Amino acid sequence: MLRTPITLLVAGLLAVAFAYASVLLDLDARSAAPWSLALGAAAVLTAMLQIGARRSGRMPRILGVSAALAFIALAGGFAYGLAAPAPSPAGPLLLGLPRVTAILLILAGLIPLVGLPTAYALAFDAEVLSDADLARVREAAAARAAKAEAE
Amino acid sequence: MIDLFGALQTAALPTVRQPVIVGVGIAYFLACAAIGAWAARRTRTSDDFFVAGRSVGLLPFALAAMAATLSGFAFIGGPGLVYALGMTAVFIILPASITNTAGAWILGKRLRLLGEMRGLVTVSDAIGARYRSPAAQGLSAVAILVGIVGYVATNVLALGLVVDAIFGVGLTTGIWIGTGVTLAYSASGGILAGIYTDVFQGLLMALASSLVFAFALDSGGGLSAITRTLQAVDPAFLGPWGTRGAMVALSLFFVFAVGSLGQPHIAHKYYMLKEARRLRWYPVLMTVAMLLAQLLFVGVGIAMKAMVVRGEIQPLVRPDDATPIFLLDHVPLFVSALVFSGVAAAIMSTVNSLLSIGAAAITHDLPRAFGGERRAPGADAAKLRRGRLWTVVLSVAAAILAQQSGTLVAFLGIFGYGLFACTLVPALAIGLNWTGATREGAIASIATGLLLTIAMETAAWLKLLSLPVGVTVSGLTLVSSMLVFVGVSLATRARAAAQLDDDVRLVMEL
Repeated sequence: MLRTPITLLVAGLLAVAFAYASVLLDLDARSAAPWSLALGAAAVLTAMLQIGARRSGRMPRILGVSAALAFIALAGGFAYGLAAPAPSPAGPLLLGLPRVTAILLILAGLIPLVGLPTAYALAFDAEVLSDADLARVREAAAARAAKAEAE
Repeated sequence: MIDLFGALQTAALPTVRQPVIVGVGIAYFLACAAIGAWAARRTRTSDDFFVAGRSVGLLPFALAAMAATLSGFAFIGGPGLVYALGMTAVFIILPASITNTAGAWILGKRLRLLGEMRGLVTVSDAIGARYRSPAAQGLSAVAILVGIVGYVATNVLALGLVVDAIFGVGLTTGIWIGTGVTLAYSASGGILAGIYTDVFQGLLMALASSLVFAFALDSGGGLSAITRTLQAVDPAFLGPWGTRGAMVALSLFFVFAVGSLGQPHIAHKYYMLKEARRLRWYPVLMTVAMLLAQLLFVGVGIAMKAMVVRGEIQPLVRPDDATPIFLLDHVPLFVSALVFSGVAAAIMSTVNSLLSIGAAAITHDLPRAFGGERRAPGADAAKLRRGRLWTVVLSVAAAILAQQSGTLVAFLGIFGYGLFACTLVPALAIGLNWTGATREGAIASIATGLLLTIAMETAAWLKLLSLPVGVTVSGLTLVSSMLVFVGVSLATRARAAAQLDDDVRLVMEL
């Protein structure tokens, strides 16, 4: 029944809600709001990837690992951006950008950008949609059409 | 919060009327009309009109999805925001790193299979089938219609401004020329015409964006030189969160990442893919296409800012002038001409997709929800006629609305994306994958999203509601509707199994 991804989804949503509430209500915890929003957003997205990857209540291996790595990359990138000191005018550059910015973009942008489509394509036959899966769907569709015609 | 009203194209662009630009613009419109005429001859059934006969190959499918995803904002408003806010604005497109794949991963497979199994033609159809609920289908169709009216009007206004900038014909005439061309192929060939014009438009957008990005970097002596120039005056501009800070940047990321899964004009395209197993390579193609098409978004904004800092040009009066001025002053004329046509292409492909789902909501979803659907012989031909008629009505209404005050149009357009997100993400993106979701949860979440968005956006427009930096109506309504969906579904979970048909369950378990 997808308990773990739904739990992660709710936890992520509550973290985002907490971030908004602490800013809206000007709570003492306001300084924690960006952290809460960063981790919450990463958790919500990861939970949705996990929910989408599940088949018959099981988490496929490649897609499951990919979703977990996506969380690490997103949360890690955002956390690094929040924790690192602000770039100075003469600070080091990486790939033509301030180093902090470049590392955030590599973690939250480049890694999922390359990794997720690659994992999806590699896992497609075994974990997304095989010929046998498609045959089952078409068989069910034919049975449904025949039943509707008979009625 | 970022002034997104300003990011929507509601004020005149600098006039760029030059023979080459006008010539390429005319050639572009003629090409769209020719593709539309070709597609119109192939449009014989309502399935052709609304889901392109489920016959679209992978490459056109990916290019069409890219073209429909990016509106004119990616070429004009987006670079303007980068010019004004630096890295903060990049968090609008950063979610593409996830969403290019997440669309197929979370929505694509199940929507495509359910479409084949049930012969579905709309996103609301999928909601109706998933929950065995005409009420959920009807309510989601109402939400889509409410969102579309303003969204199309905003895009039609932007199209009128671009046509006016290219041809110098005035805004009103520009709106009607743009509407007329889009309407010609949308009403005659429906989404089938839209898909193949999208292919042409998508290629144009990717080509134009890549060329301009190269010129943008070159104009500043490379990215490192641009960065050093900008860091000297404002280190935050290219800092990790830009000038508006982490809360705004992350809030944009959250809304655009999760919200992308609830955009009906994109989700609807999954029905059109000829073969479900071709989805395998869709994320790879979509990633390449989006990456190329979004280069301009980042490149022009930072290049123009660096030129202002170096004193090479005067500060821009309005951020939205960044792209037009850069094109006129720093790019060969023929490339500029391609980009201006690319902007029109981006807007027209979005408008066509929205018109198609709007007409489908009126002619298909609402009759089905309220029991008015006819299944008699000849009903399909009548449905096709009604589809064409409502496409005309919606686009004419949008063109008239677009001529009202810019603020009103911006207000109507601003909540389109957020409204789609908070009404469709829970019931569709989560609900199609979670067998524990219930009809009650779906209806409650759609109603919550619809009412909260209308109430809060209206209050904000009337200045009765002011949110602090980093908090958006879209973010609040999205979180609220998702929590309502999960909460109500868990509270009514005893009914979940009984609300699932066997064929739907099969699709959800694959």
